[in-house]
Amino acid sequence: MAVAFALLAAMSPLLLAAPRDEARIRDAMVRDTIERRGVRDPAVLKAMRTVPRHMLVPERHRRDAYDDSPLPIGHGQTISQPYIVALMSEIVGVAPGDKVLEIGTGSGYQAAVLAEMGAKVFTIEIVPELARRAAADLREIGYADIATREGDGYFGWPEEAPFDAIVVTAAADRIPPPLIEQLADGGRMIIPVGPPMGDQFLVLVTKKDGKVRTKTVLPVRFVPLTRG
Amino acid sequence: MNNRTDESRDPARGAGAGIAFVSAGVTAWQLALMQWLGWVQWYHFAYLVIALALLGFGAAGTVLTLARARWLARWPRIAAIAAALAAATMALALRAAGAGGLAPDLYLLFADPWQIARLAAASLALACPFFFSGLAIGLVLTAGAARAGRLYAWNLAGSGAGGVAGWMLLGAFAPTQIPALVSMLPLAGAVLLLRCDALRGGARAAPVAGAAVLIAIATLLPGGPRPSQFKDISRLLDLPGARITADIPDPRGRLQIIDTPVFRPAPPGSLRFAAEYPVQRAVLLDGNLRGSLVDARGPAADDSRAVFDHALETVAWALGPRENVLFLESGGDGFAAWAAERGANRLVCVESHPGIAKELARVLPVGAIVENAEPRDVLARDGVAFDFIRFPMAGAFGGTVGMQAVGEQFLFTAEAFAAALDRLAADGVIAVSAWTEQAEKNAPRLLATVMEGLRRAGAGDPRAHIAMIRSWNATTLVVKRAPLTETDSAAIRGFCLRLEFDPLVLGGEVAEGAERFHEVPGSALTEQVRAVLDGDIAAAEAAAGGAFRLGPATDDRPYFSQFLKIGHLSRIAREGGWRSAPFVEMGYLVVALSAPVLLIAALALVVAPLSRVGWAGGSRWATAMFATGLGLGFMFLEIGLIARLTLLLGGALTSAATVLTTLLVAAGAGSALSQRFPATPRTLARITLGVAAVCVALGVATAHAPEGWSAPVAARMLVAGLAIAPAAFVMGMAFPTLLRLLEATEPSHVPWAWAVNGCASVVAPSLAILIAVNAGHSAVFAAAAAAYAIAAVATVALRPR
Repeated sequence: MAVAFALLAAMSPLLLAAPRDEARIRDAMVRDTIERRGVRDPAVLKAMRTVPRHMLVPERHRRDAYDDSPLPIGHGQTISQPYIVALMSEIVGVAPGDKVLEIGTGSGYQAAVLAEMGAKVFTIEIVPELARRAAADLREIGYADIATREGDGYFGWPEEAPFDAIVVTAAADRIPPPLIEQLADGGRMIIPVGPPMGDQFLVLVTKKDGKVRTKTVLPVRFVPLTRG
Repeated sequence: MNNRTDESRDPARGAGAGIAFVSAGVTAWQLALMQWLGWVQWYHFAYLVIALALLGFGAAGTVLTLARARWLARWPRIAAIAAALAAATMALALRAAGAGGLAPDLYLLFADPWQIARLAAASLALACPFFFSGLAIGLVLTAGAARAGRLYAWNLAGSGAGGVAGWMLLGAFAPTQIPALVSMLPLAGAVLLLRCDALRGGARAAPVAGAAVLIAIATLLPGGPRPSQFKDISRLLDLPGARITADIPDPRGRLQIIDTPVFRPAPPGSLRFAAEYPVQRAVLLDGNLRGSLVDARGPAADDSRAVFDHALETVAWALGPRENVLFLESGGDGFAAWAAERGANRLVCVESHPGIAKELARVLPVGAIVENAEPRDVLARDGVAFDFIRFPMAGAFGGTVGMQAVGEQFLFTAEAFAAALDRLAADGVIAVSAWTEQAEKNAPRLLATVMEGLRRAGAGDPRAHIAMIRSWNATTLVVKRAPLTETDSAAIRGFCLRLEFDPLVLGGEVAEGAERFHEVPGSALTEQVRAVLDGDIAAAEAAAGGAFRLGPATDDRPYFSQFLKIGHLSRIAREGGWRSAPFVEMGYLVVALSAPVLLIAALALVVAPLSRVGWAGGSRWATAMFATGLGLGFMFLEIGLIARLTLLLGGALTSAATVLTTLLVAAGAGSALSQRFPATPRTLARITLGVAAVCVALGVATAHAPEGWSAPVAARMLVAGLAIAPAAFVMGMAFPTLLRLLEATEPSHVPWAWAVNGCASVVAPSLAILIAVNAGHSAVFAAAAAAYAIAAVATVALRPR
């Protein structure tokens, strides 16, 4: 009897827990970690308040979905921390109606945020399982108009080029020439540089009159994973 | 059951061979463990394995002290059971350490508190074989005290043979296969020890049979620790179509080659490149990406050469043609083929790993020379002068969050660059590059190290020999043997303009228009470079906030990738949060943290249990001080010698094998012969003072060891061994002499002396690395001398006979 009571007591938080108010938690995340760290673009903030990040992370990590930290999504990949997603979205400066190419769909979160900002998003993922899962998840939460593709991002998406913006979500030691070619004149590309767990910086690549220039935009301190 | 005692037999007969097999297993298991853990995690586990071995043996000594009276009557059986358990745990420990996804991950150590518990559990599992082996060996040595000299000889012979066996196994089998094979050695030891037992019949065979069953189960169990998800091998195998096309075991590192149709690495280059980056083969050593291979005779050759038309490092060709070119641990990425097409008629690629050297020979242009040798050995030789020498990239792309911080890099020291300058023709050029970082560290240190190299090579004004240029993600340093002329500067400027690079240093000073194509607002690089050119390293460090060392790396402190000043860690942590602070320089902090953790483990497992027997007596503090001095001094000297002799012997593994074997054999001989000398405090004072003096002498002598000596490696090993042996012989005399003195004067101190010595030995490897990183190898030798001197001082308070 005592054992049963102890078990019941131990389980009570699970039995009595009320459904989480995800929208309220998301709102707090945007206010406390994204706005406070300097992201100001109203379109970005609105998108961050809208996209249900918890629906794009593995079920066991849903309770942590609105922590400002990356989470593992399998295959050694992570869903970026919300601040980085917001920052990249702001830097790349997406306007409604822009065509945006994303290299590295991952969980689909960055693509959803860009779509929420009014962009027509095309996203490519190299790991087949991730590509299929993200496509399904995006459809399920109402972003069916995001075009997804499974393949090597090196070659971009030539059929839909040129793009007003390109967002590369994984650090690379070179910028594939096809991506530069598919960037519209006046277009912007954002690419992170640095170790997967450590100090990174974002490089903004611009193309104007056929000339390509780069600018180191901002150092980004990565907050490491909390679970393997 | 048939119990009878065979009075006619010497009970210790066969025990010597038995402990020889167990000792062989211990050495082979250590080597196997080092390579497996280096593959799944990082090389930091090499020193952790040494510490775990000492911890296991120390704990075994303590248990023996407590149980000695009860166990001595049945020593053969108990020793055999311990040997059988050592065999079983050797086969099982790695599988247990990685079971159920519980293997620790160093990357997550500072982010997830559970990782510390995982690491502790894994360490305990891995220490088990050492503990049981220590029990078996210690019990035999205790029981056979009357024939201690002969038993020591078996012990040492076994350890040496185990090293050879381990080395051979690493060259023939995958790391996952080796533990079960190695476990056969202590299992054979258990069989031999059981022959000494009076017990007969099936009961006698039970421990061996049980262990054999466990080993068989271990070989059938799947898994064991897998490479960390953050290692290059894990990331590469996630790519579509990725497959391992070569997996070659080697004691110098497990070579794996991965083919995938999407791996397209590129040298730092121009954004004007508009063709296709060719697919290359990924070359990994112990799970870390070492480079890439593209077949210069295959279909991708043209694409590969086109890439180098736009590469930063080809700036050397803007200064004139290059006929004799040398690639140091690089070149398979297509650069060598490009150089051949551009008129290089003598291509030499130096590669230290034999497996990679073989692969290089297959892909390089016909006529290229592949030399399987240590790059420093090649640079130190006299020979043909080169027009161009390419160094590998400093740091890895994306960095390694300082994982390599405490690894010696003798190719990135002032002495290495001075040697390379000596191998250049009059107009010869060196090219070396570093990836861009958020907080620039590699590029300014590279500049500082090259300038120091130029000074050592006799350049009047080092600045006159240097140019630096930048792309969007890398910086290349060009070093010319002769001062760069105005024409050279104009050629470099033209090269930059054509390919849209930014010149950073030209004509000995920071160039104008350093951010024309690639803006880096807020970067301290320009200011750092200006300060380094002015010889003001402190100003260069201050420009980046002062948290990082940027001074030149030298052979005495060959830690090019170690930057963090530990005193600044709390400030960095305040700015970015404690959880992210370790990622500034993970490797260094792992070692720094392990020292106190290992000390606590040693105190808990080795010293604390002894409290049951108490410790009284007037000279206990002197005993503790003496034992501590010996433990620290021995390990400091061992690690200092391994590091110092790397250059003389042409490799870290050759050095480790020479030093460990010599210390083991000579110190063992010293132990065995120490009985001929009186065990008095005065004898101990003479021994320890003598060793202190020898530490200083070895520190000085090895600092001036002839580099690139042309004698065969075996001859060099012999000479090094002969130079170390006398010191090791005397070192081996100290501890047995102390034990004999204590046995005669204060017997209750004996187990404590063992325990304290064991604790000091466990912590010493971490301390030695920290001293080397912060103050250089000379300081490690000085610390060894100081530790022996402290022991000498302690003899004053030891009770005389």
